[in-house]
Amino acid sequence: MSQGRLVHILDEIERCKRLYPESNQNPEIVRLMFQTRSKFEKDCDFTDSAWKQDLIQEQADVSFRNKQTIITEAKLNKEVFFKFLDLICMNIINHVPALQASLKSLCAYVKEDLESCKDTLDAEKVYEIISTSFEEIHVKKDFVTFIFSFLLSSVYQWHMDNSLKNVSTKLWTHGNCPVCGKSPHYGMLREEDGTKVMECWQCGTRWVHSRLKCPFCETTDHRKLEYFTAGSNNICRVYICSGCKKYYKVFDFRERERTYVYLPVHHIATLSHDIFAEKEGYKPGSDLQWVNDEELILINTRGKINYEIN
Amino acid sequence: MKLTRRSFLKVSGGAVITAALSTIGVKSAEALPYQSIRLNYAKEVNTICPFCAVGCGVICHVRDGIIINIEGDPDHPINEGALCSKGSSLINMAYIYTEKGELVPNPQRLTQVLYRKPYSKEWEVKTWDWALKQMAQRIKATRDVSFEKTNKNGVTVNRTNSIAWLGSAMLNNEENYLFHKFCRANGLTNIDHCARL
Repeated sequence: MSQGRLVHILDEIERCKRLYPESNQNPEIVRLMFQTRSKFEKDCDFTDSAWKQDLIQEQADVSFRNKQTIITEAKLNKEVFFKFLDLICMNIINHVPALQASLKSLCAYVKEDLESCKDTLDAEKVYEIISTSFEEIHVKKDFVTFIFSFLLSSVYQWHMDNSLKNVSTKLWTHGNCPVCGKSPHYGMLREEDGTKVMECWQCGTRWVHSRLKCPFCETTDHRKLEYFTAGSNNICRVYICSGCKKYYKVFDFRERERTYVYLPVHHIATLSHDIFAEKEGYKPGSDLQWVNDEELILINTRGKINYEIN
Repeated sequence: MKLTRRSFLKVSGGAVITAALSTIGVKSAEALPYQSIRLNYAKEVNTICPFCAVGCGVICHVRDGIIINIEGDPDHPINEGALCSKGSSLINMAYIYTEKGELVPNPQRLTQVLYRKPYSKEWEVKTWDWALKQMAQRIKATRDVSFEKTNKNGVTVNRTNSIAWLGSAMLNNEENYLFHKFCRANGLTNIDHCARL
């Protein structure tokens, strides 16, 4: 991550405070995570033969025409992954010392699970850890998702920057990511023409997807597709599909100032929308668990969130 | 009980503070700011602009059966998200502004077939099936009465001059081709259009 990009991201975090005043968040930890990533990137060598290097556009186009993603089997460098995990946990502990025991348990759990792997980690194995760790140790789903999605996205995006940065995804028309194949969690409406551009939460690839099509079940039946906004803020729309009962978020900045948009930060700032969507009975199409069960129960029992549906 | 590494973690994890995003301030779990939040639902429905023959794609945002916004369809190959000034104001076909500047459904807008009998002062509500049948019957009746096989010089003409056909400006090439065929097959000679492009 270049220094310029980091500055943009930090600006974006500040901008989110203005755009979503109701989220009442303290973005300090998000800022810290990106700063950690930037520092770590300078000290590490991410060259990894498991990744396709120097992919030319023609090869990518052939894959896209055959409905194949570019990365079919991702291998992560074990050493780099663990080092980065340790660094992130250490920084969070410095920020919130009370979390020391929790984070140490989490790190130990992950390392124990991945101990048998040799030099590289299978990305699928990491997804498995994400889905099992909150049951095994007492760490909330959203916390595990936050740390591991950040870790994975960092590792993927380093590779993206090095080898796949200039690959055009114009020929890709499907709902999942053309590069790594993961289902998206968020996207945006392009300022020039309102085209829906999905962004992969993992590798950061952006691709165009039809406005009136569910990226998960690919239905185009408008009777099944809906979206909602919460309160007076119209920037974040949550698109839902009553066919597959899944949701994703789309940010509409068309009526805002033209600026660099870094969607992961906006997604973190609007996690309340994930709660609303799950409360409405929809699951994230990305399978990322950003909502804890208690948050849904909280709405029912304490009535802290009194929302109305038009 | 044998205490494995995994079960040890489980036990020790239970004793520590449960880490969640709310703990580090990233998410407000208590969600106090969300009191009385309103979820505003809407559907996106695609359609074609009815103004001209270009046939631009339009996305209508519909809430409870009422159009709340209209924008160009970025996936449509003709306009790729753009709309002309008339297309942009498409919403005004269905809505009017009150004196206070509020957008309300246009009470003058016709939403069903209305028919006024000759010499009658009242409009009657009819079905589309009835209206289409009436049109077909009347075209046939008029054509049967006024059809000319030859003109006064004995030249074969097979025409009717009693019916005129006016094409709409929103018809495209293919529709115009079909209507033209229909008119010629029925012997209509008075065929025109109101194209504005």
